[in-house]
Amino acid sequence: MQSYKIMTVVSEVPKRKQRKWIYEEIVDKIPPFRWLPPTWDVVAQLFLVEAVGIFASIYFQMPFEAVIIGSLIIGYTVIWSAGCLYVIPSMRRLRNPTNEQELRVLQEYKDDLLLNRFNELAVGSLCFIGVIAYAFWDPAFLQHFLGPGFGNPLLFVLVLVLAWDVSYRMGLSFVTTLFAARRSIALSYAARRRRGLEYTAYSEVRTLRFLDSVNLYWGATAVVLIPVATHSPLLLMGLLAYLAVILGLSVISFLAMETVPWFPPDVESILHNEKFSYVGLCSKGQSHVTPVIFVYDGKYIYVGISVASAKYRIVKKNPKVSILVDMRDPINPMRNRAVMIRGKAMVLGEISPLGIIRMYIYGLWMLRVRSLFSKKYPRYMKYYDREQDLPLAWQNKAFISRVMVRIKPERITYWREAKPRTLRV
Amino acid sequence: MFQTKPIKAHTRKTAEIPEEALSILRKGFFAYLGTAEPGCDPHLTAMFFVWDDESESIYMVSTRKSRKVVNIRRNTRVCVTVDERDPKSPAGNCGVMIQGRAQLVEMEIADNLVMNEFLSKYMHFLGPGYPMGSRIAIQVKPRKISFWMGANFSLWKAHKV
Repeated sequence: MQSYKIMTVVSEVPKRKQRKWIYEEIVDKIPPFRWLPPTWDVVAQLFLVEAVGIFASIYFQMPFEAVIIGSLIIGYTVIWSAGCLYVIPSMRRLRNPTNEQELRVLQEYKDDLLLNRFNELAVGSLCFIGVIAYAFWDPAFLQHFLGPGFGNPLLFVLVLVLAWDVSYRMGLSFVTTLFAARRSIALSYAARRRRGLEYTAYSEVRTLRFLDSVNLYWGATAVVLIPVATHSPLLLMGLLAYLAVILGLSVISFLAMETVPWFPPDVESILHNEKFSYVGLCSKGQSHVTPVIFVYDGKYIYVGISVASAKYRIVKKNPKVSILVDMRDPINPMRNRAVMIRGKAMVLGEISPLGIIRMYIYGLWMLRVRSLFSKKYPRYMKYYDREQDLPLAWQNKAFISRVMVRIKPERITYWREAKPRTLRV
Repeated sequence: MFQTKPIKAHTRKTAEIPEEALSILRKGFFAYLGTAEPGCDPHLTAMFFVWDDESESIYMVSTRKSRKVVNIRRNTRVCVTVDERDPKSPAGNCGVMIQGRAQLVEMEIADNLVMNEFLSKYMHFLGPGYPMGSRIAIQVKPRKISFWMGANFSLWKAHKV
């Protein structure tokens, strides 16, 4: 607990010296890389190591197969390094959740990744020892690749360096994926215990999901190594098991992140429980406000409107929408709460080429939203379904007279006791 | 059978503001004010309001620096909606949507009668220490009033001056 107070948060205090990843640290210190921009570092690394490899293969008269295999291994390290370009910047971009428990989870995650080298070194060494032990146990495997140069100490050192490089990267990507899964589970646990206006903004969740996808990318680059391992069943099994573990952890992490709600509980409760909302549209500088029924599926807000209405005509021209949901206090209206959500609207369920493509993509989800509507407004839906003397535009003929508008929240304003407060999405 | 163009709900055009609409405006407690931000970005707020029969306009009170007042200074075209909610059936929903020009009126020169009416309507909640100093009144002159009750619509338009 004490340590969190002492160590300040990454994005706020630029103590970058302390919080560098090992890759950045090495790249920053070695001269040819130090002078290059980060993207070129990766390319330079590829050419340098590849040149050494080709030179060695010519010098030691290795079989042609070895050149390809060696290039694959070098390729793995380079593709992997390319992932580093995205991780550190997005990690620095992470801003603090307002929920203390979630803040602690993220803090711990950052510390584990940026400060604690022990884990990755341990797993990397384990991998390295395994590979080296295998090479000694089954010398024919190396001999097959190295050809006549086998036994030369210089070549042995080269192979060792390459093996360490690969093992360390594999270890590191295993550790990052493991940390990500642990962080996701802890975060979703903490998120379900939020109170009031505490939350993690969705842009942060998106950044974390992006980091997870980089982890998966790192893990998946090990696929490149499969041809290297095809000659020995043991190595192949190990590699496949490794890939399976990475994939499993990524799936766990993804599922856990899916359960993190987008908004703080105060806002969520209003969106889930209130039945009436007002949708504001704007055409040519003239605003247009009408009451509508809506449902909230945890991410987006759906509004059912009729194609004959002015709303539909306006929203087709200008998809900027704001929707206000208020919770009236029966005793004192000064204690009312309200949420205004602004965002872009997308019309679902039209009969038009684009509408049919959207229906194909979102069809199942539209059915779910429709069932949410009939759960939330049973009487309304019955009325729209059964009443025959309604104008056709009002009847609930799906896909002909009624369409769904999906609003993607971009900005939230929350009022409590007439005091507005802006929340980030 | 295959109707591609839906039949619209019938809209009546009236010369006078319909009486039902006026009664909703007199009874209603909350109004929803829609203003437009630059770039035609709508902004919505729930407001207290009072309808003044004499000048046929809506009065609302807001603070000087609030977003809606800033928006109105830039773009006076606003929309005010007052409605009655019926959770049982949409046939019972009725409401009024007013589109028109908003005008900012300083508290000192605002119509005293209207302001008194406003205070007495909401006095119970605003409390005695309601600070009128930093406030500004918004007066909305309707140019177009649409009124609906269930599936019946009617539309009123102001005569062009």
